[in-house]
Amino acid sequence: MQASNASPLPIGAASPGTEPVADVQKEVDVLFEQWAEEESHVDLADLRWTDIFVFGLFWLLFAVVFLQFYTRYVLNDSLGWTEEIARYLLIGVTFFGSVTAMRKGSHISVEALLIYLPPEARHWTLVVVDGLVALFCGAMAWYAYVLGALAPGYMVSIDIPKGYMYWAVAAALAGITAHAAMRFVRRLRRREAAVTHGLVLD
Amino acid sequence: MLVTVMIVALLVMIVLGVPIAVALAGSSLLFLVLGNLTGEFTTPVITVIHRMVNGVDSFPLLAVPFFIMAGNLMNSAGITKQIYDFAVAAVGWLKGGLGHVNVAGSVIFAGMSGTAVADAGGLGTIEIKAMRDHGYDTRFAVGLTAASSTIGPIIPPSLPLVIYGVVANASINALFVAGIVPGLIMALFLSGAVVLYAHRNGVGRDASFHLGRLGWAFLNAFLPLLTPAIIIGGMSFGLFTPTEAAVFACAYALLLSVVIHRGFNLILSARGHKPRYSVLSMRQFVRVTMDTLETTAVVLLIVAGASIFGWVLTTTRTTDALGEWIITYASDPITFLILVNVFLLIVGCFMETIAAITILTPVLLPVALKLQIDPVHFGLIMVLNLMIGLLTPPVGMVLYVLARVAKISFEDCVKACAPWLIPLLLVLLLITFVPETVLWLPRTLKELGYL
Repeated sequence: MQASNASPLPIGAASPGTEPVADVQKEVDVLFEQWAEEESHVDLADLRWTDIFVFGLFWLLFAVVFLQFYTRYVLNDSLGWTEEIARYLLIGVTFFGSVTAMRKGSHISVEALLIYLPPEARHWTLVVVDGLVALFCGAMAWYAYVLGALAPGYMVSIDIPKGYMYWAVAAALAGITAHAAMRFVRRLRRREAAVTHGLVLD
Repeated sequence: MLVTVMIVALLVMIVLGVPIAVALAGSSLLFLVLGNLTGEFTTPVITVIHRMVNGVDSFPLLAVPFFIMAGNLMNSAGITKQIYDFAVAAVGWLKGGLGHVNVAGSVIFAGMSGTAVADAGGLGTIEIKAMRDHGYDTRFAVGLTAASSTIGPIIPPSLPLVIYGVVANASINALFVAGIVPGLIMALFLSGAVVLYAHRNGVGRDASFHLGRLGWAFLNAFLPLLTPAIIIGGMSFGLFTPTEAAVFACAYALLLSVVIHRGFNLILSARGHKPRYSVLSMRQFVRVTMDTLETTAVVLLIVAGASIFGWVLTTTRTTDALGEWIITYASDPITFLILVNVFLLIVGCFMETIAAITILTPVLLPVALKLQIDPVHFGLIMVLNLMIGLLTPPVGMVLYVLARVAKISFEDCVKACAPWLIPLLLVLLLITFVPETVLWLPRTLKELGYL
């Protein structure tokens, strides 16, 4: 093993007492400091102001679920409406979050075939793919709108027609369609990198 | 006939690179449109969106965003450090020290995070760098980190198990508890492999053992260590639903990184020390939220798509037909499980975990039930199989993450991970053919009246 005393950085020692332990701990401290340093440079360039909506929706969901947790364990009397509202908010987060995901092209897909295709064939395959996605999302937005108009009844815990929820989904799907369509146009003009959708994990 | 068209359409779309959620819902849409045109199947077309929305409209699924966020928060907030320090003090003095630290750290992290990728991309970064800086072979470090990150979704909480539980209509609490023993067996096997490696390559210790130091590291890590204790304990004894445990984990991580760590730092600086607890910044908070949101939306949209697809398969009785077809080849549980394992290992090479679970569970589970295989047992087999798939090319999320983290080529990463498939496959064999490894703990807890 290398003796790496090459790091004389003055670190708030996590070693116990004054015991001089010639071991890995110091290296680890340095590594974590570097990591914290890297983590503190946060790149938010991929976000848009429109993301504020879904950001709020997410923390509202958190608040509602936490409220349920709190009322059940601390006050011993859980609020009945929290569960239903939380489920609707989750639907909202899924579909409005998908707008962000579509804008960034991060819906998971399989790349298996594409990497073996010559560039031109790959381009046209992706044209077809993005066209199909945009068409499909548009159709779904329309169906969600129709469903909202047909859906009978009110939500259980609050006096809001259930149809409104489907209309919210329709609005989200319209947003997804808009981004899918833009992606399709960019693809046609060859302004989009020749890769499929995929989640970039960080 | 129409169903065949639908399945072919699905496969063609997936191979072309259509996002999986769209491929699932799109092929179902095609089925309904054609069905209405030919008069063969006259359910209205808007069923597609109705089923998609209903597929996400479920209380257990609420656990998904919060378990994803818990892992992200732990990483961003530097809570990972205390855990790692504790692992160093606890097992760093063994031969092949940092290798054991790698496994132990992953086990503890697994008790707070629900995905393998959060483990590999967060704690894994440090695990690899620490091993490399300390003179370990990079390949050994990368392979071990990849293998140990797959413990994440086996030990509760677990994102794939939540999805499986929702699709299979199985108790998620039981699934979570069932994962504890297999997860520890995995850790044991991986540590065994480290011992073998250390013995063959003459690797020594990386730290000396001091009881005082261990105690100090434990105290330092006590607050973070409470998280897995409360999550796993609470769910095992039926106090928490998974959703509540997930929200608790997030709220607690936020409390630690925003309030408590800030307080510790104040105390340290008041006494003239350098503040060394990391605090979550506003920008990090936004980043973590948006990453969580994106992953949640991507995962749940697949669940929504699989929900309409599964509905079509069930209402047209296709699952029954497929099940009968499978049973003609595998009429006893052993043959069936062998076939399922081989099949899932192949699928795992090409398909992402959540998609594979949502598509395949409605087809395979009824057969398993007919052969009297416990749904909890089957779920664990399925998830472990697909976790192994995370380490195999061409589609292996962990491989991609680690290749980038360790700055090595994808091919090198594949080669580094290959030997580590052996211990994982051995564990898979063990939990497949000794169901007690999985079922003993939930059964015992059930008999004792918990769960």
